[in-house]
Amino acid sequence: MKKQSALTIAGAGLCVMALTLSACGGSGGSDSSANSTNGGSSDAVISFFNPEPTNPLIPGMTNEVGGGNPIDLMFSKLVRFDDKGKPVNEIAKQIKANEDNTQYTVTINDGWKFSDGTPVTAQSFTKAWSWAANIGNKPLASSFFANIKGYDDLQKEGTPGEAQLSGLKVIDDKTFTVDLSSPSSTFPIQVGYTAFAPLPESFYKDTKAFGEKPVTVGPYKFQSWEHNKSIKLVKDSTYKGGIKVKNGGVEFRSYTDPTAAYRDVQAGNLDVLDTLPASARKTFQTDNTVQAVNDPGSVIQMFTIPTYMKHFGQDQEGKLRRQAVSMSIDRASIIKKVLSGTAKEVHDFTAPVIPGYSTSIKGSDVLKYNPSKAKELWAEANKISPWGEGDTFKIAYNADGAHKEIYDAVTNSIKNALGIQAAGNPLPTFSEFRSNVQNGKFNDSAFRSGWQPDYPSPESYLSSNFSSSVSNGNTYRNPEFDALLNKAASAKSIDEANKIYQQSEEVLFRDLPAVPLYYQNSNGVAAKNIKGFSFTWKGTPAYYNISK
Amino acid sequence: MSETAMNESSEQNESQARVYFPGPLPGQERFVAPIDETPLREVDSVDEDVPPTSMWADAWKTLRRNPLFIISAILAIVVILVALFPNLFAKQDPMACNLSNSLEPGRPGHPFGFDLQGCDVYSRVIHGARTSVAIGIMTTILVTVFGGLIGAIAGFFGGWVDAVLSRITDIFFAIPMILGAIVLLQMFRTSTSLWKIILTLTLFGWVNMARITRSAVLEAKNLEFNTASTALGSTPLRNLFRHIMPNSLAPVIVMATMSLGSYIVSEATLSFLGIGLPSTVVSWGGDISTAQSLLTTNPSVLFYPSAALAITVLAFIMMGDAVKDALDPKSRTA
Amino acid sequence: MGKYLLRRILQMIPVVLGTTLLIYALVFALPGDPVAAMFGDKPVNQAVAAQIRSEYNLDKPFIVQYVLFLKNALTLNFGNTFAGQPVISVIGRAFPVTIKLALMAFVFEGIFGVIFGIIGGLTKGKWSDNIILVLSLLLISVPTFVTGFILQYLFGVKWHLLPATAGANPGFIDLLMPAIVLGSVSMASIIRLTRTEITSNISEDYVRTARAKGMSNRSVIVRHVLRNSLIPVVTYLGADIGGLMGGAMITERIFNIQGVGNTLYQAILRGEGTLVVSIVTILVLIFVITSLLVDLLYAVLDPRIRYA
Repeated sequence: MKKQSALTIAGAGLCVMALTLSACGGSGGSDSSANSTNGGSSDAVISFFNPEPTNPLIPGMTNEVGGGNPIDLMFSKLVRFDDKGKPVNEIAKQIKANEDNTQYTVTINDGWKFSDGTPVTAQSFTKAWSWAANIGNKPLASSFFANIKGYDDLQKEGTPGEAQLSGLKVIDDKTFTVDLSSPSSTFPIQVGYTAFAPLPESFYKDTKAFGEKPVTVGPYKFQSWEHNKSIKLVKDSTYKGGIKVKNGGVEFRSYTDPTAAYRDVQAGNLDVLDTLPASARKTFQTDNTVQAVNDPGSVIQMFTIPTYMKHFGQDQEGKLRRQAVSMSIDRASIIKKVLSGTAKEVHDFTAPVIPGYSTSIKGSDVLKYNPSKAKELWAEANKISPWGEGDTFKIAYNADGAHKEIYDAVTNSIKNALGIQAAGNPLPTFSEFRSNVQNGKFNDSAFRSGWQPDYPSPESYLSSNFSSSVSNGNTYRNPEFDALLNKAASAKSIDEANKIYQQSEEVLFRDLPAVPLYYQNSNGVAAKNIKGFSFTWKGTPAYYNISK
Repeated sequence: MSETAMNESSEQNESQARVYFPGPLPGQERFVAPIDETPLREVDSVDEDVPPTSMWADAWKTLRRNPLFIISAILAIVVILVALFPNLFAKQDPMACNLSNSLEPGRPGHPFGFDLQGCDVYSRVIHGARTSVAIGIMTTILVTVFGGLIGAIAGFFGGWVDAVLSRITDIFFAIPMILGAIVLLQMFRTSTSLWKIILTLTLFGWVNMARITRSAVLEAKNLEFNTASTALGSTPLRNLFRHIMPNSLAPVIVMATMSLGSYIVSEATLSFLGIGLPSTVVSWGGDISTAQSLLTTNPSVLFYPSAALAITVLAFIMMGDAVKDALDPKSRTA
Repeated sequence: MGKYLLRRILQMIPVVLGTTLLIYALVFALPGDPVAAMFGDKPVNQAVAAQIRSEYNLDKPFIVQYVLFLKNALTLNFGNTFAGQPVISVIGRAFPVTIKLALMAFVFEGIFGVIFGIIGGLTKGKWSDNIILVLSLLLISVPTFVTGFILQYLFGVKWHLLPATAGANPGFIDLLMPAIVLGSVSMASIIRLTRTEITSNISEDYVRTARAKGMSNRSVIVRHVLRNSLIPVVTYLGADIGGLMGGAMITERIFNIQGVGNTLYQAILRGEGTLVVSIVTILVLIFVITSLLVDLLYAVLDPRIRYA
């Protein structure tokens, strides 16, 4: 035994050396507490937790955070969102709507260049958007272009890869127009989403090579991608946009489990972790080895009760039962005890950082815990059609995510308040879970439905989840709600649109197609020597603000 | 198949016979005292009125006097009693959970305190015994019978039977358990979840047992008693079941009692990976996997189900050791 | 002997075919549509999904998919992962680190398992035997994900003795803790197996004979008892080496090692048939080869076992 402990200590000495070496060789001092004394330098490379991208690094091919985080830093769009979620022109000089929000004229700023030296022109946008809308390229993010005229033509099988969206017209080098199939007041916000990034000519010559080594136009440019290890970006000094970059570069380290990343931040091997593991919820704010951030975020967690589920149809009985279930959930206790304050109490169907958020929407009192009222409503529904003795109210979730604790607590609360059987219904994989949602197979079970918005507008939340025109596994149909969404889309200003969106949420509170649970906070930890750790409206770290 | 085995053993007999027939070489003469000079003593005489005792009866006689066995047997009986009649030991409903009790420490009536969901830990430990012990015992029995039989047949018959069985074992070894588990869970969605877990663990556990048994049988089949028994006209199958298998039992029993614990733990691992039992079923494994996230803040929630699991494993390992010793005639004389 | 070897090598062909077929069938039977999952929480564009399905042959019947896979595999073309990476290069990245990890775990469990087993067996019933019993009991009844987290927290975070995770290009020191965690469960079984065999062999006649001949206690143990006790232990170790490689899912996840276990786990969750089958085929080859080596070792350890 004695020998063994001597070995461990010797090993420890080596390990410190090995770590420092790898840090020096790799990223230029991104970690290692040893050289943190020269703090405040603007060329330090900051390391971040990141899941390995599941797609090539192409804006129109990406729809998950692993690839989205680096892409967003490498590609500026027409607009960017400031940390509060307010759209600010970036490459665009002006985005001008016509009378009824069906045509936009976009003018872009001079002087923007891709990292290969070619200029950013109107075509850089129109061709990139057409590429991402064209089925032949198998783009995962094509649905973002669905409202642009000509989209349906590009969705037919056999469309040539270079076919263009007919709704996009280049006027001159710096100007193009966009014709929409239906009015949209949120279009100027939507164009800030990843998929709307411009692409250089070289992209179309060899998309495969581009996906491994992109030519960029943003605050950072691409340096290297070692699969399953790291993606390294460096500050682009030619960047002309409004973001002040306070570090020399960003290294995205590949992790499969945030728990491991949390330990690395504690041990000083990783700078920033933006996904808090469940095991750290209770301790991260009092953990003196790290600095913690826990701010309101843009993610809303709900569960959908499908309208095809027995006893929960879009009728009087379903309405009563939905309200009863919602009122039987003790959200405050769940946030306090299970989530340890890493979430905020829910008041609407959007999120606190989104313009248009409101705590006083009519009907939102169904979100208040009221077990006696819940029991009354449930009994009333039983008069219409009795709830069977052996029936269980189930909520499905994918077991490969960390949802068990929350849904156990939710179903316990329902069980205790209504006196019925209730239980979580875990499905082993996300793929099975999503297939069931898409194909409407949850006949006897509600299902988890969280939403992270793509752009800061209530529209991203409401139409993707509840509109009849979007087929996202939602079976909820209410013409009154759809009409309000359309009315908001043709509104004259964003503020006016947001007011109408709030009216549409009143409808949702009456029907409760999904039961909101809580707003998930943007939270994470950073090493002690890191400065400027904060989150953007979207819940990603403000990468460019972080230094050490 | 049995013919080849016969041939093999008869060949061995011949080769051994060849050594003895040439008659004693110089210096090898034997001197045996004539039987009537020293008559058998009273204690050495064979009682011919009593039927010969069996190996099992002998083992039982030894076991009864072994304190290790008695202690472990009592422990095992208590665990099994708890598993069969949990309501005798815990009055609280393990599924009655209230968040207002979340992580409360122990108090009268709730000696072990509460878990994150506000369920009574003591009552969950007691009620979890049924699931966990059932998984452990049932899987062990199935694995030992199934894997042991396949391993014994492979090792005993050798040749192409061994080749086929061993290669099938190789295939099963390589299937990732989680892949099989997800598919099995899907295929038998309607049946009781407990059986699905037992089935999955058996399907991926028998291979280890098969290999161990095969190696033990390979070792035992070359021992002298086997040759002797064949010489006395015993059939190969009779040899296998009467002589070789009992003599290969030691590593099998050790493996079985060791695995019993690891099967209970495997259920925890399946839960950790999100494919274990649903939360409507109380089990130690499930509770250990849920409590894992409380490791640094509330270790006691993790401790109690783990301790229950450890005690159960201890009881069965000790019992396995005692049984193994009792079955081994050599360790009795020593 | 040469003939026996040849036969065993020829047997690998049906094993590999059987495994690939079985695994392919299992992945095919996985619930859910992998293409739908690619769209995340977003609406699935059915037209795009159909294109992706045909690119990966997911729209074809099971047996056609399997034959296509075999045909391509024969020309060493294993296709691409859903992320657009060649399967070959994914495997090429995952295996080296896992082989390193598995070998370290293997050496650890082999050496310490046998040593503790011998000590336990020789001091049967004494306090050292009981301490070893309790140790192996702990190793068995605490799941890897708990031991892993405890060790990681204590050594990596609290005392800063070892790296908390393995990092991108792990060396010996980075893999030390994962290897111990990975090897500890099997170590318990090896301890018990060795101990059992030692206690039963030590009362054999040949031991008494050797002692009677005046052989030193040490050489009796090493040359007779140990050699005769190792067969089941070697079997277990041999079977374990493949298990250590494919079964390191949890350990690799805890210590963020991008190895075979982690890759396999992710591929199973995503339903990536070709990747799963390719990895498992390599694992099967490792199993078959180690089981051949183990069988050859039997003959070395026990001269009575002979292969024709």
